[in-house]
Amino acid sequence: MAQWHSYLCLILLYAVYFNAVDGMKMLRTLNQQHFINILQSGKTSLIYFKRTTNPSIRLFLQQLEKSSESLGEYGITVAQVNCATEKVPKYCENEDVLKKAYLFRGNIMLRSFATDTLFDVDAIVANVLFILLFNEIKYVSSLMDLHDIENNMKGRGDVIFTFVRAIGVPEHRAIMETAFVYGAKYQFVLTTEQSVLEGMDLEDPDRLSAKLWFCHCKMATDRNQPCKRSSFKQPLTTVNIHSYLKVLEAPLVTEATVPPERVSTVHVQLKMPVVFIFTQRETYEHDRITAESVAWQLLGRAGVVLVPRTQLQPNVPADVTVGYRPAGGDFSINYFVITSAEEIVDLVKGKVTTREEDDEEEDEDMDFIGVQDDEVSEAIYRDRWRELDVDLVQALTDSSFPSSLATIPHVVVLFYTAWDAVSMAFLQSYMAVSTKLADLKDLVLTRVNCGDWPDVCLKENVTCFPAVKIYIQGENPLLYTGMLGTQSLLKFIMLSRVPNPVLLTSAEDVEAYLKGELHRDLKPHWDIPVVGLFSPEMKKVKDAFIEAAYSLRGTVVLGLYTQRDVSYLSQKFGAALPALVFVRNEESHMEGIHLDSLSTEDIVSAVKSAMLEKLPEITVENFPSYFQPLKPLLILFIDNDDTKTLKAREELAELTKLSVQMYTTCWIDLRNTPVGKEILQVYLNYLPQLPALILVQLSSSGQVFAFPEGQLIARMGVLHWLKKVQTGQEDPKNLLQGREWTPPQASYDFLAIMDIVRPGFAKQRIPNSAKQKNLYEEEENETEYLSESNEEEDQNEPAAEFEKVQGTSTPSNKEKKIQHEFHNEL
Amino acid sequence: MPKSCMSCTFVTLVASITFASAHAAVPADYLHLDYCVIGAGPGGLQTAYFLQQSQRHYLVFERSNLSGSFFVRYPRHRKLISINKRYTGKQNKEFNLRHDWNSLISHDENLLFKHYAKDFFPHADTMVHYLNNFTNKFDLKVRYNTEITWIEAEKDPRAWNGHYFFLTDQNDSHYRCSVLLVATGMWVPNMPDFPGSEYAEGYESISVDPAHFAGQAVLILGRGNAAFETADNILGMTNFIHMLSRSRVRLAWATHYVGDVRAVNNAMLDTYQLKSLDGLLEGDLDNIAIVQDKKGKLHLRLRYHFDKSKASQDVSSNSNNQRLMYEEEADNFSVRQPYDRVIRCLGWKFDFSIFNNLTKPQRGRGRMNKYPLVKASYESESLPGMFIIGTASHSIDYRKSAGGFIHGFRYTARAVHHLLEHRYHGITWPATTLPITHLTNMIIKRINEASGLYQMFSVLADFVLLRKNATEFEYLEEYPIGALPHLPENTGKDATNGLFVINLEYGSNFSRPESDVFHPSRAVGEPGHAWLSNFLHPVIYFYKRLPTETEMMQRPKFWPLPRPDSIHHIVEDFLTNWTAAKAHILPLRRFLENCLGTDLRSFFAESCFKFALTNQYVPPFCRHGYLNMQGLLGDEILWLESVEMDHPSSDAVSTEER
Repeated sequence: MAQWHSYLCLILLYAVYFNAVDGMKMLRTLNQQHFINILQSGKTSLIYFKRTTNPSIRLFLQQLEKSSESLGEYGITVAQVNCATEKVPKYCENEDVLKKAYLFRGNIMLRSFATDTLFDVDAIVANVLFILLFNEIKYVSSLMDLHDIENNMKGRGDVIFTFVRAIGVPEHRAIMETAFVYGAKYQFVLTTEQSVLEGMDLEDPDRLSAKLWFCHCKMATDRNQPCKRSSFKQPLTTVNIHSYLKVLEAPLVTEATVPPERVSTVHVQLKMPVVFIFTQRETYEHDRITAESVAWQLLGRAGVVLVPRTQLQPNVPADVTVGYRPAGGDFSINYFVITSAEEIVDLVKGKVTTREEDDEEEDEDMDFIGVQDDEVSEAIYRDRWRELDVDLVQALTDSSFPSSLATIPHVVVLFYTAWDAVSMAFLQSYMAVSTKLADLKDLVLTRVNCGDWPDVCLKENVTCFPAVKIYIQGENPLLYTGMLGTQSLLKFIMLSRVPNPVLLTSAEDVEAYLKGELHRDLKPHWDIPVVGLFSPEMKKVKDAFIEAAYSLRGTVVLGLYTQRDVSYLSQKFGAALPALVFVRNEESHMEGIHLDSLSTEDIVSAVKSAMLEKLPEITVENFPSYFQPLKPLLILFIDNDDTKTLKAREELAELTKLSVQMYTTCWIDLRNTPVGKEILQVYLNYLPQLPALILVQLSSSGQVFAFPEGQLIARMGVLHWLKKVQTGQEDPKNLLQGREWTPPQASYDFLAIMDIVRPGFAKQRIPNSAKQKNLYEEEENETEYLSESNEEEDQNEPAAEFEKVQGTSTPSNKEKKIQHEFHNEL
Repeated sequence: MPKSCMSCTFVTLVASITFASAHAAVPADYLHLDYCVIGAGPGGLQTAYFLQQSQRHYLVFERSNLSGSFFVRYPRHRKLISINKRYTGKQNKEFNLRHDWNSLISHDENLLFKHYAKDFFPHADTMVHYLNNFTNKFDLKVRYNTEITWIEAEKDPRAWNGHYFFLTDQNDSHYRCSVLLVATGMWVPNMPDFPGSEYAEGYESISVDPAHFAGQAVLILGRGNAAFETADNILGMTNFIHMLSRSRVRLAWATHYVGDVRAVNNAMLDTYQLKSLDGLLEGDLDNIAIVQDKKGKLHLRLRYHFDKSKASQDVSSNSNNQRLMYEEEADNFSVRQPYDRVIRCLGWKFDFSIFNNLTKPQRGRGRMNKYPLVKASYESESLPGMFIIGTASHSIDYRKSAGGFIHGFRYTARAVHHLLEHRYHGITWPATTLPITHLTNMIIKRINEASGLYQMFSVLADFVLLRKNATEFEYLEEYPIGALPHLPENTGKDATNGLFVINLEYGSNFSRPESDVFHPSRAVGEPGHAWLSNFLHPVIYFYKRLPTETEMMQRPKFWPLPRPDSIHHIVEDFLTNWTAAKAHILPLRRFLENCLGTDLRSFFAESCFKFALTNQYVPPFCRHGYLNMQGLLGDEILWLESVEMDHPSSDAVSTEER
């Protein structure tokens, strides 16, 4: 019995729980007092008075319940009143009441709807908004009415004319929702009469279910001139209409001052096709007119950008006039030599329409296969004319490689191949480093081309390119594992030359070392000074430390102090021995930590984490050391050093001390990291006022949150905001699309081509059960047969063979025979 | 086909007598060896080198007193036709082996053949010198003057293969071997039996002094390089030379098979086609008869007539023969003129006589009759643990690739060695494991330098085995393509996650004896038409799973492999240099990307940074490189570019003014 009770309790708990969760969606039931309250609040409400329930009413109530959330977004309350218990005067008394729902604004009843017109959510939203937007949306029943409205709007504003076959269809709802947002900006006109369309030059008005035209009346100044109309080709959904209007709001033709690859317009963001028309000073006027004409014809379908010829990459042929980037946001741009506006339009229309036609699309894809979309290869290809003076760096061979290692104390070797674009891109940085270090007598930068000397590379265990190794006499070679860039490599080379660890002999030395006063020459390459403090007895951990220092060669130089008075330093820095002491950055003071674990790996990771800052400035170069894929990023974007920015940074620094490390907190300075601008653009779709604080949850949802723009970035406010984000009270500003890295283009499908061009050529043979066993040799014999003259026939007529000595064999006959053979097989 | 080789018969006879005593039981005293290699020719020595390098217990048996004894006698006119290309303009040693047809593989650069001879077609003595030098330098274990005369096998559960091989030499010494590597070559002259065959002299003993042929009419049987070499030698001294063979002449430059007649030997073709009395004839040797007249002249007749006249007249064979000479229907019969000499240059056969019934390898079928039959792994079809290596293993790729020649079988010997190392010593096939982003590079590197792929095209291929959900791959070099279905057991590698095969191929429709290999449209330049390439070019096959034996058997006609899930041809290149960014690398990358369903592009660190901050996923290149702190900053390149953007260079301006 007791058990039964606990089950019941569980079930009840669940029920309560679900009710709570679904609370938002549940249709509110009002008592009389509530009802009166709502009427008096002045808000808009849609109320149904229920007396009995039958299946059709239950269905209606379900739809009503579903629509309550959508209408809630427009501030409209949806509710029911149960007339069985609440005797609301007038409404509960009405006999018709079952068949109607009522729309109130305050205590005024605006309209009653028959429940059968509110057949689903779309119909409910559409009908309600239609009534509420009564003043914004004009209903017309003839083309004349539309003309009147257009005339009236000329020079003042644009008109959006819409047709829906019936009130309450999904398209109607989409239009109403759009009108709710844009109602003040455009004059919306609606009709359900097909007769109005008669004069609009449509192909098949009978089959049309909905349609939207944008009438450009604002630009029409002459009263006799009709408003230009552009028709909207896509399905009418809120999102589609919204992006269409966004495109129309953009300038007709954008004039760029950057290379086509870098142009960013609304069209680019919406991944729509973009046409680039190249211009120069002499032809500018003409090109501008062409561009506008093209832009008009492609309005809403493709963007048009006017680009100065000087911005073209050197590898683009000089005679091209037009560039075209198809829809989908791919990076590649195709170039064409086209002069007339019609041809340009055809180009885009052709591309746009054939997208649905399979066979043509295939040909199209083929064009892209040969277009380089690897930015590194492209950069190298583009630069091929710039002759790299690679001879500045000595090339080693199988004989000079060992001899150099034997004679020069420090030899840096770049292993590369000449056809690998990444190698060649890095070679330039490598040469820059070589130039910078040219003065060093005991060090030389060299290279080994693994395309010429695979044996040398194999011996050095180099299997992928590019690779850099430092050979220091008397030591194992050191493989460079850092960024392939000038500064990182320079730092690595400089630091790897220093014996690691540095033995410090006095407490003064330790402090001098930490202040960076020793090894001043290396200062620019020094991230942070780190010293290990050990008492003379701690032999084991000291050895581990020395080993750790060895494995960190080139990354950081460690100091080692093991004198008797080490405990003084340990106390001074407040860390029990064995300890690490370090200075994170110039501004901060010395810090000490106790080494818990005594293994080499743990010391290495302790040093590495000591090298990380609490609130780092993120750059392209250092980002990977801070990046933890699962942690949300809290980024402060800045672009100057004004007090507001500095304050924001300070506040954030304080915050990192307070909060648990749930976030990777950092800042990006757009002056040092220009690509940050593009990142911000992706995050918010616009560029906000800086400093801006952004929270990105990449790993989970792709949600982007922005700290309210007007609000001062202060720690309490930020904490509060973060809490709201956590509890789901904050709406994300954007959802980042999780892009999977699939093949950027198709490849040649040779199998398919073979199957078409030479049927059977690439087909597995079907075994003939009798012959199956001998299939393998059969081929050999057939090969023989095919490749030799008509041997078998000859054997029947031995004499003929000798005759043939003088005769000529006819290759054409043989060819035919082979072909014949081939066809037989099929 | 009845054998008429006197020396063979003799050997067999001796062997059987020796064996009458020893056959009853396993010999009591013997020398045990893990590996026995029979023959110290190039094939045996190459194998010995690898066994020595891996410190295996082996011994090479050589019946002669030096290495490479075949080359002491052959080729008779002492000119090797394997090219000794000393200069290629490249330093890449692996690449240079693509054009070195004589060297054996070793780690010692001094043992390249180019250091031994200056001639493009070297003297055969040089080869003998080279092979003995090779033996000595590496101190290969060769027992000279030891002729293996009998080979048998005994079951023994302790043996690696469940049986041991027992060898007996001419002194009745016995050897027990776990593995037997037969590198005896092809040395038994092929002597077909036809009426009058006794009048023919053999290539193996014919005089090489042209003066001995002064003013003679000569008929040469055979149309291989030995026949042409012989003809070439005596061309200037004879009245005329006729050459007779079963098939039309096959010219190496038309067939891409180095065993066919090489241009270096074909002076006869000139004199025939220029009507300078010499001539070529086609006829099966089974259908001819040679008849000697009273003056000792030799007449070539059809066997058909010979048999007929023999049946009708059973009187003195001499008068019968005389009659036959005039019994032709047509009085313009091509070969009505008699010959002074008939020379047989019909090649060699494998010596099957030293094997007992159990160990004897099966014969190849048809034209391959002269070769022992082996599996794609070069192991005997019937007996595990016995491998045929060297030129005798040519049944795998006869008339197709280079497995019958030094520049081919030096690689198959290596492949067999890897196989042995895995099977008997648990050492898996050598392989490199790399992140998937390096796949394009790795393939490009190999197709541009690998010599084994190039020489043994369509026989040995490279294999890419995908690992860890295709984020990594393992690269195996030069595995026998025909043994694809057995790759896991032969190499010890797992091939369940999909694989690529990298092969080199000639166009399937190109190389035939009489095809016009100089036709104007012989070369393809468009990457999109790469599959129509005629010259040797890389072909990459992609299989989602390992093909089975049955699929291998039913592969498309003329294909080396079954129909793959996807295929890519890299367009042929005049310079055989496949490193062009757009024509070669880009289409290959697209192919790999589509097979793997990923993006293999490389990116600068800045792009990776942007991806990492705005996307849950980054491309593999960024994941392996940038996020591991090994991103490509490209600072110098990008810096130069930005400078250019600000100040358009002079040629950009000129473009503008165009």
